[in-house]
Amino acid sequence: MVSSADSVPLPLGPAFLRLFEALEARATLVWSSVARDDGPEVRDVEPATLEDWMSRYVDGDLGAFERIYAELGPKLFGYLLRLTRDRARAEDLVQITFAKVHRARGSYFRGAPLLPWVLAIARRSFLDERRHARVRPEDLSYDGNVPEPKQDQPALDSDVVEALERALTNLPPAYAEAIQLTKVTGLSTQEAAEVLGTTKTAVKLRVHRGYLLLRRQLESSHDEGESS
Amino acid sequence: MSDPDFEALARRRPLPHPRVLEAIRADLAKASPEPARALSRGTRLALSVLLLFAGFAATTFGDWFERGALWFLGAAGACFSLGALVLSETLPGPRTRLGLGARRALVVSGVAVVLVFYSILADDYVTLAEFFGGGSRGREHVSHALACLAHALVTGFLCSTGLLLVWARTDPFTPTWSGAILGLSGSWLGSLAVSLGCRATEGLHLILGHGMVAVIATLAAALLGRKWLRP
Repeated sequence: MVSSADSVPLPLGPAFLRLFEALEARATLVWSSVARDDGPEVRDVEPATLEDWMSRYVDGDLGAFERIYAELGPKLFGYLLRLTRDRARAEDLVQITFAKVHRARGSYFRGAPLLPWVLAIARRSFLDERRHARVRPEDLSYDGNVPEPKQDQPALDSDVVEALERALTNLPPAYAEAIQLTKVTGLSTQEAAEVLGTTKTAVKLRVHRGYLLLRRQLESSHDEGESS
Repeated sequence: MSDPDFEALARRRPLPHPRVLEAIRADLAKASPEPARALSRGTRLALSVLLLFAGFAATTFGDWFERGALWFLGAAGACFSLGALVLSETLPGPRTRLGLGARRALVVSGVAVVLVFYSILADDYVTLAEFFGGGSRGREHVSHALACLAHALVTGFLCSTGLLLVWARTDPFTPTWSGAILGLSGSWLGSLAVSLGCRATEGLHLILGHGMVAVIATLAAALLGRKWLRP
C-alpha cells in the first residue's frame, strides 16, 4: 500500500547535491592546506623572498614570473655566459631553463632555496646542449673538425676585473665553475655542491685549488704588466 | 698582490638581450596558466609508503596465511619504517638533506646489507658447479632461483617504477643517486616479498634468487632516475 506521503517527492535530490558540493569544497580546502607546507595562501601580502614569489608562480600567478626573472635572470645569464663563453648560446640556455622551470614548477618544494634549484636545471641543460652540440655538424667548421671560434665576452669596464675575468676563463672548468658559484653567484658550499652534483669537500678543494691557480695567474700578469 | 676581487666581478651583471624575455613571455603565454599540481614532500612520502604497502600486500597475499599475520605485520612494519626513514632523509625537499657522500654510502651499504644478510641466513651451500651444472638437480636449483628472482624483480620493479613516478621531476641535483635510493627501497620490498613465500635455506639460492634483486633494481632505477627525476 502506498501512502499519500510516499507519492509526494521530497526535495532530497537538490539537498544532497548541495551537501555534496559543500563537502567537496571543504575537502578541497582542507586538502590544499594539508598538501602545502606553508598553510593557506595569503594573497594580499607582498612576498618577502624569491621563494615566496615562486610559490605564487606555482599557484598560477604568472605575474610573479617577472619578479623571478628580474632577480634570477642576470645571475643565471652570468653563470651560463661563463660556462658557454658564448652570448647567443647563453641566451638560448636562459630561455630553455625558464621553459623547464615553468614545466617543472609543480615539483618545486615550497620554501626550498630557488637559486640552486634553477642553477642546477640550467647546468643540466648546458650539459645536454654541449653533448648534442658535439654531434651537430653545423657547430663544426668547414673542414668538419674544428669548432668555429666563439667569443663575445661581456664588455669590460676595468683592468682589474678584466684580468680576473680572463684568469677565471683560463682556469680548468671544474675549478672555474666552483669559484663562480661560491664567490660570484653567492651560493653556500653546500648549495654549490648540490648544483654540481658533488660533495662539499670536493667543492672546497676545487675552490682552494682554483684560487691558488687564479692568484698565480694574476700575479704573473701583474708582473708582466710592470715589466712592460 | 691583493686577493682577487670577486665582489667586483659579482657586481658586473651582464644582461641577456630583451628579446630573450620576450621569447620566454611568448612561451608562457602559450603554456597553461592553470596552477601547477604541486604535491608537497609529505604527500609524496605518504604516497610512497602507501605504494610500498600496496605492492607488498598484493604480491604476498597468498603467503599471509601460511606465515601468520603477526609475522607479516612485523616484517612489513620494519620494512616500511626503514624505507620511510631512508626516503625522508635522502630525497629532495625544502631543507638540507644528507650530503651526497652519505647518500652514496647509503646506496652501496644498502645493497651490501641485503647480500650479507642472505649469506648469513643460509644454512648450507652447494658448490657453483653443483648449482649451475647439468643434471636434474642442477636444473632444479637454477629454475627455482630464477623463479624467485623473477618474483622479486616484478615486485621490486613495480614498486620502484611507482616510486620514480611519484618523485618525477623533483631532483635537478643528483637524479641518478635519488633514483638509486628509490630502486633500493623497491628492491628491499621485492626481496622481502619473495622471502615470505620461499623456505629455501641454501646460500647461493638466497643470494641469487632473493638478494640479487637489490643490485639489479638499484642499477635500473638509477638509470631511469637520471631521465625521470630531472625537471
